[in-house]
Amino acid sequence: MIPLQVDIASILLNGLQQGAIYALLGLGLTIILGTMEFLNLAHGALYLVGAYVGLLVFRETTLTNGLLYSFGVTTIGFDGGFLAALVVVPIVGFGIGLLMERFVAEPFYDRPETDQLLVTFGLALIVEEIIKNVIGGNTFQSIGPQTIFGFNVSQPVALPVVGLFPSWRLFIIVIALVIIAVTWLAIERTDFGLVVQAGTRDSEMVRLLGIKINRSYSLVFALGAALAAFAGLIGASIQTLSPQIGTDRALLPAFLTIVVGGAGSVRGAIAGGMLLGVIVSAMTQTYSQWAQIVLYLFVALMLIVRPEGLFGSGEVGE
Amino acid sequence: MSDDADAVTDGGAVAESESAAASGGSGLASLRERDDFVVIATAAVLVVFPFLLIDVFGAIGDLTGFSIGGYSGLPSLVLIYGIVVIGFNLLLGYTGLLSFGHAAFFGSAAYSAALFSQVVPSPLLMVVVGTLVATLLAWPIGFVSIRRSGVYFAVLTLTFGQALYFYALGPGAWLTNGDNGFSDIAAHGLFFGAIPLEAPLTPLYALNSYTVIYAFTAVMMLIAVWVANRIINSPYGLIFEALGENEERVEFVGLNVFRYKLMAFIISAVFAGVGGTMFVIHEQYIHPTTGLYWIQSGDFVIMTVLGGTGSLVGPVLGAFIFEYVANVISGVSLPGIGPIGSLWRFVLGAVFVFIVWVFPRGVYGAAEDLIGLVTGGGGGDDGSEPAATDGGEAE
Amino acid sequence: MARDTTELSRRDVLKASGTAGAAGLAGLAGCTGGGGGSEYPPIGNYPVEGDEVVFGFNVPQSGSYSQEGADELRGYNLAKKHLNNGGGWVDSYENLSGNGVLGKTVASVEGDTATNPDTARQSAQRMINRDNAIMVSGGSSSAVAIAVQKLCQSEKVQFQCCLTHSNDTTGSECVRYSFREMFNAYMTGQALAPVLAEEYGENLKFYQLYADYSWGQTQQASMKKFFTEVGNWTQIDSVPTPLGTSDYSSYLSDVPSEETDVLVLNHYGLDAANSLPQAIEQGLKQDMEIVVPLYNRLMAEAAADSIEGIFGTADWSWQLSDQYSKTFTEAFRNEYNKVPSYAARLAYSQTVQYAAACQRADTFYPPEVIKQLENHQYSNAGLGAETMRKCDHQAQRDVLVVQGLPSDQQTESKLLRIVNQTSRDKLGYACDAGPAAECSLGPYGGENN
Repeated sequence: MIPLQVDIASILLNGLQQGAIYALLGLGLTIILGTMEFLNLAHGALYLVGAYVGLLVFRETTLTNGLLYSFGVTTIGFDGGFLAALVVVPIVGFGIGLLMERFVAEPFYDRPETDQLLVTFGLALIVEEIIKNVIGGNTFQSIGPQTIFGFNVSQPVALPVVGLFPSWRLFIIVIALVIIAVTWLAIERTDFGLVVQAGTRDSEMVRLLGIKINRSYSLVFALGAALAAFAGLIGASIQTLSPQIGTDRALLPAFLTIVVGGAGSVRGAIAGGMLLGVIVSAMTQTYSQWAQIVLYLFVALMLIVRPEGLFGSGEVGE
Repeated sequence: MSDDADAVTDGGAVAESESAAASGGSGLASLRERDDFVVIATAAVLVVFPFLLIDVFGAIGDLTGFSIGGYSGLPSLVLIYGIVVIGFNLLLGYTGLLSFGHAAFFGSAAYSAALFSQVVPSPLLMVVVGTLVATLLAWPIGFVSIRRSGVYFAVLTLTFGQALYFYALGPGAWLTNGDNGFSDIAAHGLFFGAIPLEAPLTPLYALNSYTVIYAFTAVMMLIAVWVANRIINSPYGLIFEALGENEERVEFVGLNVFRYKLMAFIISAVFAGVGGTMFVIHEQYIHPTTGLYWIQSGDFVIMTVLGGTGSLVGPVLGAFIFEYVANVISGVSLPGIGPIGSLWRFVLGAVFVFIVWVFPRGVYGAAEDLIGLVTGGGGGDDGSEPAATDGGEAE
Repeated sequence: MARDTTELSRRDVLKASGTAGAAGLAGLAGCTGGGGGSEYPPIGNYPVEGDEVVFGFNVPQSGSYSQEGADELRGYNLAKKHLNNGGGWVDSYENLSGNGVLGKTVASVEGDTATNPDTARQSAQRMINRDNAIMVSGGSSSAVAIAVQKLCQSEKVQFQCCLTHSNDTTGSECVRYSFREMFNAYMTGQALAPVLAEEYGENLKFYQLYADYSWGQTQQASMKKFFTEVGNWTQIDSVPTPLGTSDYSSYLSDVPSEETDVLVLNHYGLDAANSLPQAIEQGLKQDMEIVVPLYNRLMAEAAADSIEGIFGTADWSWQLSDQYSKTFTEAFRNEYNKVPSYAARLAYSQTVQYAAACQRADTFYPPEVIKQLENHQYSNAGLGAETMRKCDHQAQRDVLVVQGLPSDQQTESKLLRIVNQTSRDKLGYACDAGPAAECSLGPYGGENN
């Protein structure tokens, strides 16, 4: 019915787009895990916060429920457009990351990873409930812009081989890849990055070397949080927002990504995200009923056959 | 009532537990008395539980105007989840393995018992079949997952659970009735249908809160407590605990770490299987979201931690708090604020974080410390901390 | 909103049920002989003692459909208020006095279903066992409605379905103790097909995506049946998407845009709020027409920019101009300062209809109330003449075909326009056909057993 190469091309493109979001999430999670050996189940909550901050900055939203509504607030938001959100969201995420590192993560560095999982699991629950009760459990429209940098992105573009493809999604692929590249460079080419790298390989050693690890910790955590919030903004630009998206769309994919890529591995998070994105997209276009099942079984298989992940040292979190 | 956890966790300062296997025999003898105590105390609580929950709380509710009373059905539900988390705690609290996929055992037992009931509608045989299926499923999943630890273990168990969930919802709907839920459960009464499960236990009006299904569940609970207590106080239990404390040391002693971990995993799945089957007998209904979704696994974690890991009955307390808040407190109206409604999850999350942060030994552990403090008994000895609370980084 | 528990304490009921013996239901069997001198034997939560009667409002307050749940609750509470104090439809129903039901004040208990079938069952169980609810109403998600109505059947407590559109609710999963005012997927197909055949032409090719659960499956089957029969359309393919999918781009990429004339998105609520905008982003609207069989407010709001010109069906709209719709909309607006969604109408209507049936039966005895509702003909629920059919408890009623308004014509309360109110004469199916063929309602219980 449809030529094979069209199928393959659209699978790859869709996979790339989905994978880019997974990669952003995985990247944030993996640097935190790698450097601090801190397991953050509230990573999805950061995605959620990113999405809602994006919503507030992007447009005015009419409320019909929630605490704010019952206090007489009927609209919230700044109507600042997507570019403003693009700037504000990572900054807010960064700030939240700093606070979280200081007040949540730090007391738990020396406690077992089970406690870390549990406390962040509870924290995620609280964040979700706060958003729901304050703003209301409504589902809000996605926050994709009409134009950006003068380009009209509301119309699809005709691509060779694939055919029509939403131009906004192309833009997302580009912007996510840029952010991923920048993060990659920051880790590969800066002093700060060196600490992260060394940390993900052997945090004990870094500490022994007397590097001011605490400040770096804050920065790494904040960077990871900013990446998650950014992923939330990107995700919210193509999908609706509701308080449940943190766990549903972010937390599980993020963990699957780092497990496939190798915990603590930056390269692994990027490659793992892309790989999972392509698998999901390939399965949905062929045997959609089995897409989720195959996704989970693939990750399980990966863990069994190659527990250290694509690029992981297999050391972190073990 | 408060002693039993000591019995469990003291274990003679677990630091020396490498000698556990050897000293198990003599340890057991000295614990014998307390051993019986746990089971007897549990039995006593089980006898008064429905009366307290339904009649006493109900009367308080009527007096104060806050509807805080339980309802017929809630006591059994608490016990069912209690059975699950007693087993879950053997894994999390003692061996230190955090599974995010125990719904797989709970749900698969529930579904297989439900399907089996259409052939043989005997509750007792349903329990056997459901538990058997959960056990058989736990073996391969455990075999694969146990080789990884920490987050890998959590994610592995999660992935198997989720794969089952999506199967039950989608491609497996021919078997499970998918999203419509499975409600053609044909559990007859006990003793070949002679005693219907829904009937009151006695015709006495004062004991109206007691139903046959409650008695059935209570007996299962008692067996679960007894078995878990035996396990904890056996050499096996001490090795489980030692595994949570320091795996390498257990290995140095020459014990097969993998084998014991797998055993702990399977045992916990057996409990989940019994719970899952009892759930389906009690509810006469099962749905993929209840049976298999990862949120259910997460609820097991919350209950266990809330109540207190590392003690036998702590998690049951957690199951009670969880179910009580979810099913009763969520329907209470506060003056000025209105119905609690959906806020209950927020309350639960906040309490959960607080507990993890301040009382790693859960509500039960905190209560124990408090009692210790009041009676001047020296409070909670650190030796009884759950396995997971130290040595994490050393791994 | 707290239930006033002054007169009737649950102890009284327990006392009464003590004599019921081993045959009764756990803790709920009513009294035999003692009490109000009722002429019927106890069943479920009958007889109702004291001067209050309790209704259970079981709605999603958390989870995906909490927004709809909130509107349903508004409808329920408004109905309670009108039943007790008069106002709204109660004033024009000849059986209702605005002075409670059968001389008893209506009290209510609320529960959170969390859009999860088992949580919903627990919540209903609490209402039935502890609060002695004589009637439970709720829904939102057919899975929840089906789960709770099964429970109500076994507890012999009335269930008034609110928002549930799956064929199965009054088809293969139907029960005696439950009644559905809402239409179903089958009727959506019947209502939409002629309108679309006229709008878009005959002999077209259509492609379907459907949410892979009971509602989506029955919905896509109905669409296929009626598109093929009415407009002689041909189906290219029908693809399942897992419930709760949020990114449909892969599925949409697979739609053959050259061949397809009409794309049917059998998604509801949240799912549709994602799939519809994504289909439009993908440019599919340039090549084909898109249809969303069932509209709801959540979806229309969450996809407001994308619904222009999109056809679908709806249960009811506040824009209808008949007397009952206007009265309800006015009362709702006065109370809550906003217009009601159709979920609110369903909640309101199901509560008032139940109360009226009790009055006609002159008892709360469930089998008698059920008989009053069976084959009840009415035209006082805002949709013209309706019949609550006896064989499957499915209301035979009109269905609205609606179309999304362009963004610049939308207002906060008006996102859709009514294209057609399809008469019930053109809809439905015989008792031995369609979904009803699979329905067996089960016993009334009591002496009619």
